[in-house]
Amino acid sequence: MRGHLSHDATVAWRGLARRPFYAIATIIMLAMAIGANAIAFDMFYDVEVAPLPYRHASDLVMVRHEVPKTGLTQSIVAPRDYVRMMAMIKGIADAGLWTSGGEVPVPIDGKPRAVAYSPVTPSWFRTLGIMPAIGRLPSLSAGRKDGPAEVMISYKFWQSAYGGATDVLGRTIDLGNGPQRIVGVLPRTYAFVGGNDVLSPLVLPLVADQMNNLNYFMIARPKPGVSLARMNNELQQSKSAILQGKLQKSRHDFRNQILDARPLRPMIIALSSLGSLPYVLQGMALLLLGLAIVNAANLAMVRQRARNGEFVLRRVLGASRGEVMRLLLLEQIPIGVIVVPIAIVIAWLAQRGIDSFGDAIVILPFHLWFGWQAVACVGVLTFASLLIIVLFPLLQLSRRSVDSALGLGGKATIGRAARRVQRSLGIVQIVLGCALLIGSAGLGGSLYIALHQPLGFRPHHRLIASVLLPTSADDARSVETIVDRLQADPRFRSVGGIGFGTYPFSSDMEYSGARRTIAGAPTYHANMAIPEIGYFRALGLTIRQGRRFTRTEYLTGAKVAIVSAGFARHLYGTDKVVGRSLRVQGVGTYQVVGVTDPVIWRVAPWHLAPGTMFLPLRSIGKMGQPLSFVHVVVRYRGSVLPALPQIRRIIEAAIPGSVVTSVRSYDQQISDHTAFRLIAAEIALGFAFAALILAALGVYAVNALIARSRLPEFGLRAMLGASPSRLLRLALTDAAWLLGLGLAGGALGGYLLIRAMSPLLYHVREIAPLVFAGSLIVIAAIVLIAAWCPAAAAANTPVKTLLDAS
Amino acid sequence: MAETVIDVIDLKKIYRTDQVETHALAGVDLSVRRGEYVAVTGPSGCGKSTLMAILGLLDDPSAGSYHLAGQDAANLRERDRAAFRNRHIGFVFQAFNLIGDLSVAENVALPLIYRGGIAKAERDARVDAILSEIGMAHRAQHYPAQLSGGQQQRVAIARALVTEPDIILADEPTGNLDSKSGEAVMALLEDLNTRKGATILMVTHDLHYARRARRIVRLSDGQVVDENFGEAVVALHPEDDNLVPGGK
Repeated sequence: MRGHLSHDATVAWRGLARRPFYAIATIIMLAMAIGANAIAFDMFYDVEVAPLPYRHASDLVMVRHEVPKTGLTQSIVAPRDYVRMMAMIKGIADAGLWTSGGEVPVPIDGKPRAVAYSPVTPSWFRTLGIMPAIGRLPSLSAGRKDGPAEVMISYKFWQSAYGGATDVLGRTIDLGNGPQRIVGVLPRTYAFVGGNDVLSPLVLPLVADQMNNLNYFMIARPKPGVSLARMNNELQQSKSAILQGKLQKSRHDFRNQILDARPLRPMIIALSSLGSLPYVLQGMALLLLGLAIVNAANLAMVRQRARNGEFVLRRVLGASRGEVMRLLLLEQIPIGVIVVPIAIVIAWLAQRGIDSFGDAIVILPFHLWFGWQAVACVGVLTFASLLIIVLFPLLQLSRRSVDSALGLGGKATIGRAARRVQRSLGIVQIVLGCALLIGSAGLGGSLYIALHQPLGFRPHHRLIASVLLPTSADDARSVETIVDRLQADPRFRSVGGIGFGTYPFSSDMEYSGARRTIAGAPTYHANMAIPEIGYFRALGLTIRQGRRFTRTEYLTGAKVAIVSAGFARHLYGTDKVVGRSLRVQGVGTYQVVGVTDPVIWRVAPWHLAPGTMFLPLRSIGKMGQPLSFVHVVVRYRGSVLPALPQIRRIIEAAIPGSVVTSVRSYDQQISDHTAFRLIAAEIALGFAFAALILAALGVYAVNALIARSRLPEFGLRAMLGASPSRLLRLALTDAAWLLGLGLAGGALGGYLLIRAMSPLLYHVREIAPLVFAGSLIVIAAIVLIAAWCPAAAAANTPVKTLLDAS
Repeated sequence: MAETVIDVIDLKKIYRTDQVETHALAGVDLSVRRGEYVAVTGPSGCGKSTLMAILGLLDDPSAGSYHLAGQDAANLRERDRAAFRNRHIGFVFQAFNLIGDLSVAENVALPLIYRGGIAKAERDARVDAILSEIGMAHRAQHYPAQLSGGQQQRVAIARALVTEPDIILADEPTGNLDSKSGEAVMALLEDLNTRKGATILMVTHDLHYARRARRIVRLSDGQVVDENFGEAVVALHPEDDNLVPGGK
């Protein structure tokens, strides 16, 4: 038996080696498709399946308070909501609040260092079930006014700032509000959405304004036996009591606010830039694999038919049906053995490409890395694919009897049943090829366009420096001092500063509420930038209507605003808004003096881009908290490299005690910010390319093989009087049927795919006609060429040669 | 008297399509004894190939009985047929039907592999012996495409013999060969019959080669119309071109 098996294995290997077309085509198609699946599954697994770094993470929920009408759609709550929920919602066993504190300069071993910190309630650790790597968790009393000042530090910060020393416990760290004692180190695996160097205690209650600040993530663990539905029911019943005194103007407003709990993982995914991308990429990869399998199965059937004589002969000589089938199965082993490493290498190379983006694609708390699951995925998919591929010829074989064995020459024409199966598979090939090409080209093209749309400002030859100011510094004056010092250096063309808040393509998001100054006008949340006067020129922002701030307006702190065209359209319904009034929450009423071109703040669908309002730095005052974090845009002359350390030196000399957390080219900032979407675009375009290759290879190879197997039939027809043009017409008519049905199905599939991906797509209306037309034309051309070439060759071949082909 | 290898009684084969019923075999009686060399001949469409398919267990009879080597072969289950065929029958085809991917030795060894339970050393020895016997030992590692038609047919005969079957079924074994190679193959079959006592049933429409058999069975319209020995059958039917050497 073992000898028999090894003999079959040898024969299988030799058969593939002697006629390698089938093996090579199958290996190329499967390796590409399975490699793509492995990398897609790797991401899918890391995001959707791998356990989050919290105890019983699947039990955890995130509570969200959203006000969609105002553009406030982040899943956040205010501390007062949290306090009321803890008192009212009986189904909550434990819950914690988290907010990003940003970065502060902290002297460690006498040297200032930028530290990212997040205030959390002490209950945060218990809720998430975190066990410290060393030390202990902060006591619950740390969240009270008179409680101990105790903090946890991250494992990474422990290693980088303290060298992993165990005597770190008991040391103090000052985040700007007095020394706090380090009582524990978080486990190495702990991560949340950001700012994780230090977790400091959030002491409740805060001052009144801060208690209503919708800027906190709330994670809760329901009591055992309390379902999500029950918890949401409780939240719904208590909604008006919880939200009382905040944001509502009438009973109607309550109905438009969302207060509910959702499972943690999808909420974190929604907070990231991932969205449904893992599903979309995995779905596309599976479609690609489906196409590869159908291609290979069709090839396998053609090959099997050519070998019918051999299989029948084996049976005549005494092989059982099972033994012949086993031979067919054994032939798949060498293919699988070659496919697995190639697919792993493809996936690994793709992961290397992704890794080359560095920290730009770190999406906390997920760890995207090439792991065993990608290798397992390759193994499982290779096995399953080859099994499916061989199933078609096996079925053919199982139905075939040996009654025609004595006339082993084979038939002159393909049987109707075989042709029907082959045509069906051909149609499926075209449908999958079209749908995949449309979907992946649509996604890739859409992202590509979004990444290359006009930004509304000019980032080239500009640097962006982020500066942490000492808490004692006068914020506006500090920004102006930095700008003046830099401006004095002849290497810099123009310099502009921006205070509290963010800048286009910054890593933080900062929304502020604004509304028109008419009674009952709704509040709308938009990006708010607080520039120093040189900012517009330094960044190259174009004013399309009105003007910039005058020096007098700026220096006197006049309440004048410049808004982006997008903001104007959202709030006023028109971009002709110069002279209109604008009420900004917590700051006052401004008069609009200018409108900029739309400013792209981050890559997002245009209808979700909230627009921007620019308010003069001097007009703001303190806004209830120090600016502490400011940014400076520098337009430089010559080479970028000498400018980087120079800027750092000038700023740190201008404001003693400040920390320049980063100086980088604006282009780099944008490229880091868009890295993930760029990767997604590249993967999608890679899929489009693979779909094109597979569709071309599969459709062409199968049509060519079918046409070749029809040569005797063509010979027969020619013998009976069919002219060469008639033979060509016959081949093209056959192809036209396939094409018609395949393109119709493919267009429908592509439409469904584009529709499913619509949340991820930009400018879809503009690109869809091009993508559809382009994809359908390319596939149609491939099918027609595949049908034409062998038929044309057959039409010019002597009839006797064609007949002998049987 | 020698033992009966093939015993066929009232064998019928009817092909049915939607409206037509074709009697390919209309009650054939035939027996072949061990050591016989029988030629089955007749015009095209007389049922030769159908009879061959049923005798080779490649097709089922519609009615009648068929015993091969004393066992009922008409009612074997599909899964038993392969093993039965392997054990009792050797096939020689007009088109040789060697597997192109296998060497000469591997082609010859194939029935032994499918039989199972034969050690590789013994298998190789038997293959070497049979190839030596038919004068093809020097070509053992060649592939079919490297051989002439006559050589390929000799390899096919070796493959049919290697399991020492009860009977060799040869279907137009010289049909694809030139006269010189055909003669050589026929000489080989005769030699195997006379010297080794191999039982051979050969289907041919060529009387020149049919006359080399010891017995000639003539089929017409699915029935045995004559059964005679050697030259005698030709003398009985001088009007039948199919039985005249060089006839159409």
